[in-house]
Amino acid sequence: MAEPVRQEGPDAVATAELGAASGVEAPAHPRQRRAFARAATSCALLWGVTALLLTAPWLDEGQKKVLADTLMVLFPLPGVAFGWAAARETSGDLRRTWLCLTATLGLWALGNIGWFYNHVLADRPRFPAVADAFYLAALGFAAVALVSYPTGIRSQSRSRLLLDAMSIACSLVFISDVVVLERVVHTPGGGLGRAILVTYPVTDVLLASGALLLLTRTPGRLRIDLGLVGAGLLVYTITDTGYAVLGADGQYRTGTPLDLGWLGGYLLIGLAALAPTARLTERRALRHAGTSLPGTILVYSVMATAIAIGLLRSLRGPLEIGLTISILTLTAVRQSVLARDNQLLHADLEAKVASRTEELQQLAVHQQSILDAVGEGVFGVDVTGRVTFMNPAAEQTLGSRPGELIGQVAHQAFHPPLPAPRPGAFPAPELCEACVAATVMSGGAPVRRTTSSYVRRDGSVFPVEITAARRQEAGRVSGAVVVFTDISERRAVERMQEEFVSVVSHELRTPLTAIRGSLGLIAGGAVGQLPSQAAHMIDIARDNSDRLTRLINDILDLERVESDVPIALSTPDAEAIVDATLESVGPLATAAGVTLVQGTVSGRVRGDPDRLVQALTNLVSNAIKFSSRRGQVRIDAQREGDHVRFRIEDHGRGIPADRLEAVFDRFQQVDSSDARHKGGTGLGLAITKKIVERHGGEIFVFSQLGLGSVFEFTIPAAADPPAASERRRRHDLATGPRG
Amino acid sequence: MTSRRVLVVDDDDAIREIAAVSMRAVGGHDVLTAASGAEALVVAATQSPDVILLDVMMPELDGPTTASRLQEDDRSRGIPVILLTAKVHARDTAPLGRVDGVCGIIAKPFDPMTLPQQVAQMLGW
Repeated sequence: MAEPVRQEGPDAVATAELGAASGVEAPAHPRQRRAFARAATSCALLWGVTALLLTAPWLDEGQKKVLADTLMVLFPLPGVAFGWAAARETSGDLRRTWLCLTATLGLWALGNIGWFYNHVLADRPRFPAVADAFYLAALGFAAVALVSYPTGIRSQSRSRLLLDAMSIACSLVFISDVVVLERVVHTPGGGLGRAILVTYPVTDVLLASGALLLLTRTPGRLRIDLGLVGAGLLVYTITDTGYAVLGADGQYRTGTPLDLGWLGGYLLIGLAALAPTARLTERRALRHAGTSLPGTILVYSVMATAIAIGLLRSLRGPLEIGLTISILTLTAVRQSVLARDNQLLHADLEAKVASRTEELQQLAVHQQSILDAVGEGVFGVDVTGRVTFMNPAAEQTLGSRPGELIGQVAHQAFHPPLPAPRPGAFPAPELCEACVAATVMSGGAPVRRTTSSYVRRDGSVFPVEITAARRQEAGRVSGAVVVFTDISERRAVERMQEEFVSVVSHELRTPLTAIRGSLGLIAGGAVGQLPSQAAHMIDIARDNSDRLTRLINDILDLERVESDVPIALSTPDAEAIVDATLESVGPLATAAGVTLVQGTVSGRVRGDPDRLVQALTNLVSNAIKFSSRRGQVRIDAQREGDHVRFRIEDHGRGIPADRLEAVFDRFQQVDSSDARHKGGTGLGLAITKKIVERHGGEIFVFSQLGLGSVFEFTIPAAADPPAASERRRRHDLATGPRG
Repeated sequence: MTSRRVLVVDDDDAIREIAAVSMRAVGGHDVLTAASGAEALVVAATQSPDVILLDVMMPELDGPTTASRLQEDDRSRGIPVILLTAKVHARDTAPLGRVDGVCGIIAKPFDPMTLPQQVAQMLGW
């Protein structure tokens, strides 16, 4: 098991802040932060000393010029080193940014070497010179660096950012045109020189505004490196503008405090590459990047300033000026309010989404805990029969490792081999036709199966009870969920129960046989005559031992019906069952003087013929027992839908309404003396009901006191072989209904 | 009904005696008895009874096994065997009917007054 990562001290706090603001995992290394702090301090000191020297009264202009021109070559160099190091340690877009910024600083240094050569070594000042080509190329690389800068802003927000950048750039160019460039453009001189002098401040303005806009989209601590680049470009812009104005007037020379702007710019951009956040490749923009309030205020204030400057030049009178300023201010405020509303709305929606997501996650966790907790095996399959999920109980029962069976075809993975599916029976060939999953997906209602088996990973087969239901998504079957229980233990208990019944059966019958035998021999006079009173007592004893025998038989039988698994399935004709029943109860009916009528008997059932004859015999012999002499008992069996309905009707004494419910219970006889007089045990109907239920059928009783009773039960029908049913119909036509 | 020689085999003394009395007093037959399968094999081989009433559940040699052994011995082969069983369910008794030499099954408890008659019917006496 992995040791939990422990965060301690101020670093941990910084990491947490950074993570919260940007969603970035990688912490800034403390060593890196210390190096950055040292470098920043050194740069500030260096710049301060330079400022002191350039304004110092004890240095003459020539000395200051040489000093400034030398430092202009040197100051970009630390940035080149930092940028190169940053590029080496990053990748992708960020690497390209650092490479381009390194190139920018390098080109500036090269340009400054050219300048140094022209102005100091050769003392042949020229404009435009080769140095200007380097400066322009440097600005080009700076532009690429900003475009490459990975902000994590989505393309949708990116277009808005571009729009904002264009607004700001146009406004700033307009401002600088009105304030500065007019003077540059209108100075006499060469066209190329003028164009270059104009290009510097305009390009700088575009780059600086781009950097500032990116900054408004960048969260928290990630602003450090971008902020330094932006600040550097801004300082550079101001300096270039000053240079353009002075250059246009022909008053520019090096060695003035103006040079401090460029020198500061180099240091700021160079420091950016050393910032603790400079190596974080994965960045995430603020969620509401498109509508941030600072961004809106920035864009509108710049635009408003441009418009105001333009208007101020043509407007007259304090009223017009006042109104214009009011209109512009109000517009800006209105836009800011709009942006704020937008931001709030956005935040509200985000909060709702977050809470909904949390609810869903909780629900998922809840469901998972239920799945983990249940003892039954639960798994899902898709329409092709592949396992989509499986709970721990299922994996444990099947002996698989967690997740091992996910994606496998359930039938192939753990269902015992079965006959190949009929071609075209189901769209997916991986699905076995006999699998419950396939059944529910093509069928509909949930299916329960008690006679299936699964295979463990070690190859052993075990009996399972399965329930399956299909899953639907958007009105279409998307798969099935299968719940299964290992019933090996239950089967073992059933086997033990069966053995127990067998043993009890033998143990009870042996003494009973002796008692019954002795009494029989005495009562039969085989061992000598008895006085009549004694003979009568022996008769009572013999009759009751007979009754005890029947009782034991029925109790054991009831037990067997309940534990009999599975019910021996065949597909007997209803006619065969009725015939066998009539044969067995014939003597009883004759003795009772009751006529048995066979009504319409047709259909074919699915079940155990012996048990079905037993059930029908119980009902018919009951009907005979409760019929009066010369009474009639009618037996019908007919197919109704997917089952065959057996019907036994008598015209006997009937069952009171309040006893109807109870007739199928054990030892529930309508009259307690029936047990003696009718020779029943009180278990016949209970056994019959069990037999019917074990077949998947239902049993009903209708009765009216004094008029008779009707018992009905249903047994699932088997498909009629067409030839047989055809034969039977012809047979029926030839002989007519019997009765 | 002519008198036959009947061998009654049962490990339970009471039932053996009742069956014996029944066959002797009611049926009028000569009755031999054996208390185990092994004893039955000896008696059957030496006394050649006309029929053997054989209990199914006995320790060591049970009824069906005894019936099979009887068929293996030349001296007892062909003697009809009727099994007496406390099992009543068709599923349990059906396999018994398929044992070699078994020509009938009678359920316990049996009626001693009609036992000889049942035996006679089964054997066509």
